[in-house]
Parts: sequence; structure tokens; C-alpha cells
Amino acid sequence: MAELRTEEMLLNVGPQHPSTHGVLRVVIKLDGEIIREATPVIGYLHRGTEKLSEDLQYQQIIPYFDRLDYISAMLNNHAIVNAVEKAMDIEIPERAEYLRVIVGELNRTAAHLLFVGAYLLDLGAMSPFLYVFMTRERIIELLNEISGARLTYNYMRVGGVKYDAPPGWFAKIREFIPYFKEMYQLFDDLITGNEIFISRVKGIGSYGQEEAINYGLSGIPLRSTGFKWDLRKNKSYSVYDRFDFEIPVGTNGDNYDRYYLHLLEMEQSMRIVEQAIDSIPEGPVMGKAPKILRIPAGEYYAAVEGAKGELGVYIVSDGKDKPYRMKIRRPSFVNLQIIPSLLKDQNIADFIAILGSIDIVLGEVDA
Amino acid sequence: MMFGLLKGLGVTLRQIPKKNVTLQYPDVKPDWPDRFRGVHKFYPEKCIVCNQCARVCPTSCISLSGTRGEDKKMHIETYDINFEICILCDLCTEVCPTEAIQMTDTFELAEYSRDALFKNIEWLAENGRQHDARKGKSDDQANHDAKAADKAGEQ
Amino acid sequence: MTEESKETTVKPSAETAVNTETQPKEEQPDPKKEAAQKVLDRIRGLIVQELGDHVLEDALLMKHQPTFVVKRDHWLQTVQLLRHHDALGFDYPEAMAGTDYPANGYIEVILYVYSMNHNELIAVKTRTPRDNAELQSLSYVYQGLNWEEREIYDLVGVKFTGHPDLRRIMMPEDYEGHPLRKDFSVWKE
Ligand code: SF4
Ligand code: SF4
Repeated sequence: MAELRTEEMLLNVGPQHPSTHGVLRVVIKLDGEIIREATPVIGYLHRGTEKLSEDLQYQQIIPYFDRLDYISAMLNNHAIVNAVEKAMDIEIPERAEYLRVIVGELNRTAAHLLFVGAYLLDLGAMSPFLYVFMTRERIIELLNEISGARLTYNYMRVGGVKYDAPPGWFAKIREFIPYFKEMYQLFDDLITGNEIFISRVKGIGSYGQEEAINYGLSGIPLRSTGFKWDLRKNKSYSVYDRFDFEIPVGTNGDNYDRYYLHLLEMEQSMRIVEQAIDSIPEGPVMGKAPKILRIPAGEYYAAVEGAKGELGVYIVSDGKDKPYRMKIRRPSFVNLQIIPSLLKDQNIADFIAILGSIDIVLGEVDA
Repeated sequence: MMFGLLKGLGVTLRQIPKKNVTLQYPDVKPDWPDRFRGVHKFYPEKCIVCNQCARVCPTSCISLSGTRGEDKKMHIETYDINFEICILCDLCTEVCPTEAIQMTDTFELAEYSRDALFKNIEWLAENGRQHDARKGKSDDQANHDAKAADKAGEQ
Repeated sequence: MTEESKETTVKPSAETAVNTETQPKEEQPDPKKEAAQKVLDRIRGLIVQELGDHVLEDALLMKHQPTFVVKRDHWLQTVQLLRHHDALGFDYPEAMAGTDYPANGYIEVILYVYSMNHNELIAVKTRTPRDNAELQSLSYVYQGLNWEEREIYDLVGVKFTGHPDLRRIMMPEDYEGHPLRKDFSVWKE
């Protein structure tokens, strides 16, 4: 047989590709079916949040944070208010802290649910997506009820939260928890027990602990390598130290571990919610905070565990009511960096499986 | 191989007798909670032209003007919200001292032209009248009181 | 801002001064601050011992946050030491940001690194003049800084020498100017 002549081919995935979860573009150099080089191109959703923040007062920045990782806006809210409160030494009432934890964990569950559904959809499984949305819808409705919006909540304020829980809200969560547990069991059976799915994710796209740390990965991409690192435990903030929950970790750092950790984390989040609604103290939800927030001159960095990893806010203040410079450490942005090395020498068929498992949201990557 | 597939099929079959979770949207409207942040309504008679809402708006989409009337009080003349850039964040209604600007459950904002997204004082007032009629005045009053209570708590 | 950065460790920083005013018991030492001071002293000692006195411009606490200001020429060398020295082991790059200070004529780049073994977070920063802003790239020390440096290059306009792939990341390739510089304006005169 004559020798096969091969030639490298350039393939452009995105920015309008349904499986890149937004406007991510990846330029792939292909040799047959093997990816030789993959270069992500980002910036299509860059809105300049950092630049805009320099022109906004701190309470006006909160709605902009909603729009970073728009599927877990409560956690983004927490990141900015936490950073400002730490910088200004503002104490907030207990009840507000508990409410923050409750809405934050509900939102984390919703974000992870969306990941599970979308990831399965990427891999060609349509129906889990619908079941996931059924479950997620109930959480979104709960959050809508307390904050007044379904995605961009703008619920937390420096010094507390905007509203107390409406009457009957906790009862609704109590009703939701058994439903969630039932659905959780269903996903676990249906997806984790599906041989086709498992064979597409197990052992694929794996990396080691050291590599993950060197890349600065956080959140599930880091934990999937077996490294126990969760800011809720390691640098405990808010009232997370009062709850009993575990940090599930993976072993191989592959797609399967990343998928399964999302499931396990939802279970832990629900455990936190359960404990929090049982022990939430009475009291005000808004503490004493100055009307015009002025951070003393200096530089501050504070981070919370967002849905995708460490969501940090670095503020340089010159003592005015607006930040001199604000840098947002976006976990999706940092986590996405590992993609070129992960995709190298992989099969093109695994491209979406690997990209999807890193769990990025383009609103956060591009900020 | 077969087992996983059959299990999936079982889940689907079990779903069939269950109640629908979707709405027939344009015919059936969703029922939004009280706090829902939809398009604003405006009560011109309540506004004292303090300009706080325009100042707090993060996207600067409110423009207003007023004049001093014979009774030495300020009266609103024009009040426009540009819904092209309004992000429905609720900060304006939060700062308004007289609850002149509030949010309704209207959420359908699609228009054929950008100009049509520029809503003026009449449109906002009309939206308020419609919303009040829909909700019933008593309901609105309760809502108002709840908001006032929230505010008192914040201070 | 400028007074802040000029302060040495001996003087209490601006915000702690405010704190002691509000709290009557002035003598009470802040345990958090003392712990941070200990970390600061230990790491400064190590840096001076390994690299000499001349690499550090300053070492201060920014509200309980040990911060080292490194001279520009020793930027890479110092970070390499922080990363690879056994007693330091700052292996996790947390965040990196560039800030423009036109009044002082420099751009400051700050890097937060965390040590997973010692559970310590420190900030190291360095300054480069605004015109021809240039720094040594750290992307070989921490792969995770590859994009962060590209972002700083794109938005603040600091050139990182030795970076493997220094291109714009957020703005289009043919974009002019660096949006996060304070004198940036979208309206071209
Ligand atoms: S909702 Fe927000 S963006 Fe819209 S007008 Fe009010 S303050 Fe402005
Ligand atoms: S804050 Fe309220 S009272 Fe003041 S100008 Fe705006 S709408 Fe009128």
C-alpha cells in the first residue's frame, strides 16, 4: 500500500458553537483525528467589568458582579460584599450571614445541576438535561421569591442582605430537599450507571495534582486530582465553620471525577442548607454600614468559593467611594488555561468531553 | 450495556403520567412573586425630584427633570428610563424616599426598534395604573407597606 | 495610596491607626497582626539571606497581608526563590493584577502567591516605569500566570519579556491602547 500522505488541518470551533457554552472559540490544529494544538481565543464577551467598576460606587458594582458567572450570581454577590466588608471591617448580623449561606448553597446546587445537564447534553444525552432543569427550576423559583430575580439577583448588600426571607420560604426549602434527594438519586442511577457515558469520560482528560496547582486551578478542577482545597474550609469565611459538611475529592483528575464531584458537592450543599435553615437565628438582616461606602486607602484581597472555584476580588482604594482599581480573580479564566495542554494529542471526539468537564462560564472568563 | 439503557427507559416511562411542568406561555402567564423585579412603574404625583434614583443607577439610564411649582414644591416634568441599558437591578426603587418609582411584574420588553425601548413618564405611569388594576389596590398597599418596613429595618 | 506604600513596617499603617482610635484599649496587641508580622519577618529574613539586601525595596503589612516590594530587576529571581525554596514553597499562584499610577509614573504589578504546605498567603509586587513598561515573565515559574500576564499586557500595557505567547487576550489584535490605564480614553482626539 502506498504511504498515506497526511496533512495538518486547521479547525475553528466556535465562537458560535453550541457546545462551547457561550462565545468561546478554539482553534485546533488537527492531524487526522488527533488534536496537535489547541488555542482558545477569548474576549468575545469582554465587557470591561474591571474598568467599569472604577467608575462605580461599591453598591453599584454588585449588579455587575451578577453578570460574571451568571448562573451562580449569589456567590458572585458574596465575593464582592465579602471583599468590601473585610476591607472596611464591617460586622454583619448573624441572620444575614445565614441567609447568605443558604442562598449561596442553593445557587451552587443550581449551577452544578446546570453543569450536569449541559455536560450530558454535550455528550449527546438529551433527557437528563430536562430532568435537571425541572429540579433547577425549583431552586430558581426559591431564589426568585427571596430576591426578585431569576438569575441576576443583586441580593446581597455591604452590611447584610436586601430582604429577609418571605413568609413560608423556609418551609418551601424543607419541601424541596426530599424532592432534590429523590432527583439526586435519579441522576446518580441514570447517569453514573450509564455505561456509554462512563466509557466516554473515564480516564480521559486527566492531569496530576502538581500540574493543577501550578496552573492555579481551583474548585472542582483542582479537587478532582485528590487535593482537598475548598475555601469554605481552608480559609473559612462567613459562617461556614459552623456547619458540618465534607469536601469530596476525586482520585484521577479525569472527566469522570470532575463530573461526579459536581454531583457529590450538590449533596453537601444541600446538607449545609438543611443545617442552616434549622439553626438560623432571628434578628435583623441589615447591619450598620455607612451610607456612602469608603474603603480606607490600601490594597485588599479577599476570596470566596464560587461555583467554579476561587472567586477573588482585589481592591485598590484611594479612600474615595469608588475603587481605584479592581481586579477580579475569575476561576473560569484561570481554569481554562489548562485546556491547551489537556487537549494535546487527544482525539477530536473527546474535545467536547474535556472542554465541558472544566466547567467554564464565558461571562466569567471574559469579565 | 443493556441494563443502563433499560433503566433510562424506565425513568422516562415513569414520567409520563406526571403533571406537566411547563406553561403554555403566551396564553398562560407565569405567576411572579411579590418581589419580582420587572419593568418599572412611576407615580408622578409622589416624586419629589430628589434625583437620588438617577444618581444611584449603575448604568445611568434614568433622566429626569422637574420644576418648582407655585406651592414651592418640586414637580416632576420628564422622567425617562432607557430600557436598552437598564439592568433591572432595583437600586433606584431602593433609594427612592417616596416610593414614586417601583417595580412591577411586567417583563415583556421586546420591541421592533431601539427607540421604542425609551420609556417616558406617561408610559411608566400607565404601566403603574395597569399593574395596580391587575393586582388590586389593597394588594399594592400591602406591598408598599412591606417595602416600607424593609426600609425601616435597613436603617 | 502613595503614603501607604512609603510606610515601612515600623510605623502602623493608616487603617490600623484608625482602628486604634476607635478602640480605647490601645495597648492590646492584635493577634492577627502579630502573626502576620512574624510571617513577614521570617520571609524577609529568608529573602535577604538568599538573595541579599538589595532585592527588596520594602516589606510591609497591608492590613494583615505580608507584602514585599521587589526591585524590578530581581522580580523573576525573587519569585523563583519563593516558589522553589523549601522553607517557602509558594506553589499556588492566586491572583495577579497590574495597576497604573500615572501620578507616580509607574505601573505596579502585584502577585498573590499561596503556600499549600505552610498555609501562608503573601503578596509580592514590583514597579515598572509607565513608558516602555517591561517586566520579566513569570509564566515559566507558574504556568497559571500565562494568561494573567497576557491580560495585564493587554489591558495595562506591561510587556513581559520571555513570555511564550504574548498576545492580546481580551481586546482584538489590532486594538490600540490599554484600557485599564488611567489616561485611556475611547474618544480618540
Ligand atoms: S433598575 Fe437599575 S438600571 Fe434600571 S433604572 Fe433602576 S437603577 Fe437603573
Ligand atoms: S428617587 Fe424617587 S422621589 Fe427622588 S427623583 Fe427618583 S423617583 Fe423621584
